Amino acid sequence: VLGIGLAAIALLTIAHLLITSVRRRRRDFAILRALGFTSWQVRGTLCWQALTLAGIALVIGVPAGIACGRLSWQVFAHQLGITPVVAVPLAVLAVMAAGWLAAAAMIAVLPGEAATRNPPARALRSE
Amino acid sequence: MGIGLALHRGAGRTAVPVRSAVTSATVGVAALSAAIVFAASLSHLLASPALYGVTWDAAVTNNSGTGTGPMMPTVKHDRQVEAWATFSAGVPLRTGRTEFEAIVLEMPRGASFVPAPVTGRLPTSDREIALGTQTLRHLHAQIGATIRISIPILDTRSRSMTIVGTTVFPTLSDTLGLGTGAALTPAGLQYLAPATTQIPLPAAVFVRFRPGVEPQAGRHDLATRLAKDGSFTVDGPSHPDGPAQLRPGTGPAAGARHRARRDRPADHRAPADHLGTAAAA
Repeated sequence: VLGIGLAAIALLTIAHLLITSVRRRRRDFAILRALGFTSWQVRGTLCWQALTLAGIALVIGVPAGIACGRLSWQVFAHQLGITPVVAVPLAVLAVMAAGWLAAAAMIAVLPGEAATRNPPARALRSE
Repeated sequence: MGIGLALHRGAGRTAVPVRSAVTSATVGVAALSAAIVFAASLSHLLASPALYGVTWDAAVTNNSGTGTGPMMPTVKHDRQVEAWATFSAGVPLRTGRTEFEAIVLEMPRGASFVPAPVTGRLPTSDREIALGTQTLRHLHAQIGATIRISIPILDTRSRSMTIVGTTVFPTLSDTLGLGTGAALTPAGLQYLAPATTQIPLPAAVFVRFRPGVEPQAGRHDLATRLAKDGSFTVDGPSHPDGPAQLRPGTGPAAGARHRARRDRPADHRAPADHLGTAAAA
């Protein structure tokens, strides 16, 4: 439950970063669209932004999590007095990683919509 | 483009909190991965009875109080039985001010019903003992050390025994289970007891069925065959539903065990109680 809660908070953090990025880089996105970027390319840019952050988190977080899980199980087994046999379910971790990336990509949809809602001319004028 | 934006922190009005977002996402993934590894290890433990000390399919007890002798011909010649071992559980021991219980196991056919040692090896001679890791820690001892042990209910003189390993014990009493307790050979128990005390016969037999024999069906068949020889109880091991039930005295069968002990007539009691009776006499 704690792990799922922390993962949900992490996804919300990515969502917050994307929303902040869209708001603060409104001018950049408007220039890109004025130069010929389509709405789908803007959405794709934000999707890649989310996937990059999620990917970095996976590359660092999964090995660190496995190490923490092993250590905590060994401490628990030591307290119980049993043989500390650690199981690392690679298939489950792979599914978790795929789900994490999919969730990150889905989270990028709403900021993508927000980035393409305003016409570039209006955005540039307001800047 | 997106990758560049993800890693670019910006400055002034375009600054975005990249570092905190990456940190937060990493912590979240790490917590989820750690939870998955821990849960998988727990599931593996609960699915592997040998890891929590259960290495048998049935425990046969003679309700007549005449030891394991009457049941042995049937158990030995049962085609479904792969291995068996007579045992006595709950033998009280003391070293210094620390008291704990021991399991005394005979190992015919070389089949051990005590799980593989966590460290070191199992006792093979009368002056050797294996302890649970918690008991070893409590005694501030280590493998290879010699400790002085006595049987408190007999008020015997303490004798030296060498700790040869640590192992995991099945939860058989309130104080014998997992990392708490000790394992002795029958010769080891005889060595601790005074020469004038006759060590009671083992009270029960652990049975392991051959591969392919469904344990519940095997227990039923064995109970049916033993019914011709007298009054015997054939019990299966209790399997915990969660880690809380792994601790001694908290297993699903703990309540039943208490009731059985309370309701048992005097001549049906466990060997430890017999030792107590001998001492009182």
